[in-house]
Amino acid sequence: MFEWLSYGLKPQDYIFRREFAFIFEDDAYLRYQSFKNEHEFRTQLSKSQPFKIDIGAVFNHEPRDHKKFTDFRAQERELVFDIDLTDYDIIRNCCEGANMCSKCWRWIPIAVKVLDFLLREHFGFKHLLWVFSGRRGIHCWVSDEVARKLNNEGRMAVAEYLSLISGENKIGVGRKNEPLHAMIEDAYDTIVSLDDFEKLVIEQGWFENESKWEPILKICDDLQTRDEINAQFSAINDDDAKGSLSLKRWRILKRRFDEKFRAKLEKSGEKLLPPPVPECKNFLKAFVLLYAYPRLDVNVSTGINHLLKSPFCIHPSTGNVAVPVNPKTIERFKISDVPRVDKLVTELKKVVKSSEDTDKENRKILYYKHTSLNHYIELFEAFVKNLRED
Amino acid sequence: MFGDFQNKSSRRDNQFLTQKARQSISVKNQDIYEHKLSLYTDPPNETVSLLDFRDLGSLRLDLLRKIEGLREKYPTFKELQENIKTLDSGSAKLFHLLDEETRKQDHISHFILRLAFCQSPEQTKWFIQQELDLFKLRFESLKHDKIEFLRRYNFNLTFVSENEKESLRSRLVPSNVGISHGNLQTKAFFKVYFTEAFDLVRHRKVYLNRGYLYISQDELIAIVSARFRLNMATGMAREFKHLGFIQEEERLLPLLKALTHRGYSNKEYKAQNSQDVTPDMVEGLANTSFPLCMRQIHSRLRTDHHLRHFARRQYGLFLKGIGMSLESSLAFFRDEFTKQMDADKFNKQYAYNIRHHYGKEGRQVESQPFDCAKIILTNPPAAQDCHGCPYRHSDPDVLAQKLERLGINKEQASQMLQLSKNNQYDKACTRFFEYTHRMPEGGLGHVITHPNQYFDLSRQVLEGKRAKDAGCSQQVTVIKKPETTSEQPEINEEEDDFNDDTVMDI
Repeated sequence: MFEWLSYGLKPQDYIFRREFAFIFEDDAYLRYQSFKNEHEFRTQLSKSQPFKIDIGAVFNHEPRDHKKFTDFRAQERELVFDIDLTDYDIIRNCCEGANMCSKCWRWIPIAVKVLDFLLREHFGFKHLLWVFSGRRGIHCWVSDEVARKLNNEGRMAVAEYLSLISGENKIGVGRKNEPLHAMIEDAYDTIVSLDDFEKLVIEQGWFENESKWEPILKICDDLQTRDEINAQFSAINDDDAKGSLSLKRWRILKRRFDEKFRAKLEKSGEKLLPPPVPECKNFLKAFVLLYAYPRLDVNVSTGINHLLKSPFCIHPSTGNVAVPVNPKTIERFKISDVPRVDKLVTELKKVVKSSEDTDKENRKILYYKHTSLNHYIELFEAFVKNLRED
Repeated sequence: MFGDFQNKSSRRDNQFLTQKARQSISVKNQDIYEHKLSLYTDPPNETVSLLDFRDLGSLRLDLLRKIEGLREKYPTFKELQENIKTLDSGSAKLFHLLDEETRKQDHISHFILRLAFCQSPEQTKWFIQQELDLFKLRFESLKHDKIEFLRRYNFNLTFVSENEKESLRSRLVPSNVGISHGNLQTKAFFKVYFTEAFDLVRHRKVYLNRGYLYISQDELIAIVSARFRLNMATGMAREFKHLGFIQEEERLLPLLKALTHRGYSNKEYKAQNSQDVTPDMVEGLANTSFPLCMRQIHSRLRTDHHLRHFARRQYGLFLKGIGMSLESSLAFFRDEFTKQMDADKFNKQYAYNIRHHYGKEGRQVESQPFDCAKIILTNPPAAQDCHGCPYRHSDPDVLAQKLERLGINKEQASQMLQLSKNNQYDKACTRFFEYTHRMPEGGLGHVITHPNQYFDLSRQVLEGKRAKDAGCSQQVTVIKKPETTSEQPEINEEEDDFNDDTVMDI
C-alpha cells in the first residue's frame, strides 16, 4: 500500500505528508495521522487497531504537525469516485436502503464499465483502481499524476462532465431531436451493449405490466408513438414466463429506436418499422441513461480533502474486505466470493498450522498469499506496477 | 516590483496633487509593447510621476466602470461588443491600444489598480471581473493576432489537421456547441489539454478525447480567459502580501484608497431604480442637460475640487432633484473633495451636510432643490463664488465669453445678453436651452423657472420624448418680471441647522 501511495517519490516529498485517518468502533475519528515509512505505519496500525482507515490528501506539511502551520492545506490527492446503491433507491424495485441483492448489484458493473470507459477514453486517464466498498458500492481511485494534481475546480469539472442525473431523478438528456454530445452517445452505447443491462431490465420488471411501463413511456415526447408502443406492448401476452414478456417488449423498443440494433437487423434482411419521429428520437437513450447511468456522489469527487476508505479495509457490517476489482471482468464478480474476515481467519489458521517456518516476519507476508485474498493482492500489485512504470 | 517612483513633493500631501509639469513616461523596453494585448504576466519597469500614477489609475478605472455600465445595459457579449463604439474618446483610446504609448499606459495602469484593489476579497473579485470583461472584449477584437497571442504566451494548443477534423466529423458536430455540418470546414480547430479549460469540460460543450478538448476558434476565448483569471488571482494574492511590507502609508496608499472608493462605491450603489444618477454619469449629463448655473458650479468643482457653502447647496440639491441618491452624492463629492483633503476631513465636515439634504440629519426633513427665483433672489455670489444665476449675477463680458465657449454664436449670445439686461433671466436660460438643443426659438414652449425643470425637459428632448418644436404654436411670451412662486423659499431653514461657514473654505 505504501508503495502505491508513494508513487515512486522520495518519502519526505510525498508520503510523509499524506493524511490517514483512523476510525474506531464508536465512530471516533483520529485524523491527520501521517507516517514516515511503512514500518511506522504498521506499528501504529497494530497498536491502535482501528476499525477502518481512510486515506486523505497529501498536504504541504506533515499532517501530524498540522496545528503548527497557519497555511496548512491540501495539495494533491487521487481523483476519486464513489457509487453507492442507496443513490439508486428511487429506481430500485428489489431492495432499498442498506439492503442489496444480486439483482440490484447489476447496476454496479454497469456503472464501472461506463465510468471506466469514459475516464480512459475521454479523459485519457490510465491508472484506475476500482475497489469494492465492502457492502453495496464501489470506489474508483484515479491515480494518474494529472488527476492527483487537479484542484477542486478541476475535480468539479470532471465530476460534472460525468454526471447526467440531476435532482431526484431527472436526466439531462434532450429528449427532442437535439444532437447529443459524444459522451452521452458513448455512455448509451456502452450500457445498452451489456448483458447486465438486459438482465436488469427483466429482473427489475420495468416492462412487466402497464403500470410499470407507463412512467417509462412518459419519457417519449411523441404521443402517437407512445400510443403505438403501448398497443404493441399490450399485444404481447403469450403465456411464456414473465421474463420473456419483458424481454420481448424491450426488444420492440430496441428495434424501433436503437440505431445499431436496427442496422444489424437490416443487414440480416429483416423488415423494420420506420425510424422514430424527431420529437422522440432520443427517447430510448433518455430511458436507458436515466435508469442505468451511474449515479455519482459529486461531493466525494469534488473535494481534494475528502477522506475515502482505504482499500483492503474490512467493512464493519458485512465483514467483507474492500478488495480491488478488475473492471474488465466485473460482470463475473460475485459478492459471495469476496473474502470475508471470518473466512480469512479460518484460512490463515490453516496456513499457519501447515507451515514450519520460524522466521515470523516472512511468514506474515507469505500467509496472505495463501488465502483467498491473494487474487486481489495480485490485482493491486499489478496496478501499482503499472503506475510505477509510467 | 515597481521601479523607483519620483517623489516630487514636499511633506504636505496637497503638494503631490497640485498641477505640476508631468514627465512623459520613459521608454525602456521597446519590444514588449509591440503587441496589442497583454496577459499582464510581468509588472512594468518604468518610472512614473506620482501625478501620472494617480491619473493613469483613474483613467483605467474610468474605462472599467464605463464597460461595467455598458454591461448592465447590454447583457449579452455580442451586444456589448457592438456598443463599444459608444465609449468616449478618452476611454476608447485606452481601450483600443493602437499605439505604443497607450499600451504602456495600459500596462502601468493595470498594475496600479492591482495594488489598489488587492486589499480586500470583494474588491479583488470585482476588479478581476472587470478586467476580465475588458480583456475578453479586446481579445475578440483581435482579427489576425489571436494565434500570435496564443503562441506568445505558450498556450499549449495544437492545430487539428483538416484530415483529422473530417475524420472526427460525426463526433465534433454533435458535441461542439455552435458547430454544424455546414460550418465544420470553415472553422479552425485546436486540441488543448482539458486542464486548460475546466469550464468547457464542466459544461460538456466540446468534444473530449483522451484528455484533449477539440475546440473551434470560437472557443479560444474560454481558454485565454481561464488563464487570464488565474494569472490575476495569483498575482494579486502575491501583491497583497507584498503591500504589507513596503512603506507607502504617506504616499501611495492614500492614492490607492481614493481609487477604490470611486470604483467600489459605484458598483455597490448602483440603484435598482434605473433613474439613479451615478457619479460617473454626471460629466456627460452636465454637458448635455445641465442649465448654465449648474454647469458653472460643476466646472468649478472639477477645477478646484471644492465648493463653498452656497454652491454646495445649490448644486447638491439640484443633483438630488435629478435623481442622485444619497450614496452617489456622497461618493461624488467625496471623490472630488478628497483630491484636496483626506477622507476623514471630508467625512467630518462635509458629509453631514449632504446627508442633511437628504433628510438624514437634524430635522430629518429633505431639502428641496432651489428654483430659479430662489437662486436669483437670495445669497448673491461674491467674486470668488460660482453659485447663483449667471444671467443675473455674472458680469456681461464674462457671460458672453462663457456662452461663446459653449458654442453659442455671437448673435445668439448677444440676444441672451439683452434678455439678461432686461431682467428676463428665465428667457435667457430658455434661449440657452433651445440653442444647445438645436431647437428653433420658442421651440421649447416653456419658460425655464427651475433648474431641475431644465434638466427634465432636456432629457425628454434628448430621449425623443418631446418634439423639438413643441412650443412653436404658442405665442412668444411677453416680457415678465421674474416670478415669485407660491412656495416661498424657505430662507430660514438652511443656515440654522448646520453652518459650516466657520469651517475653512479655501
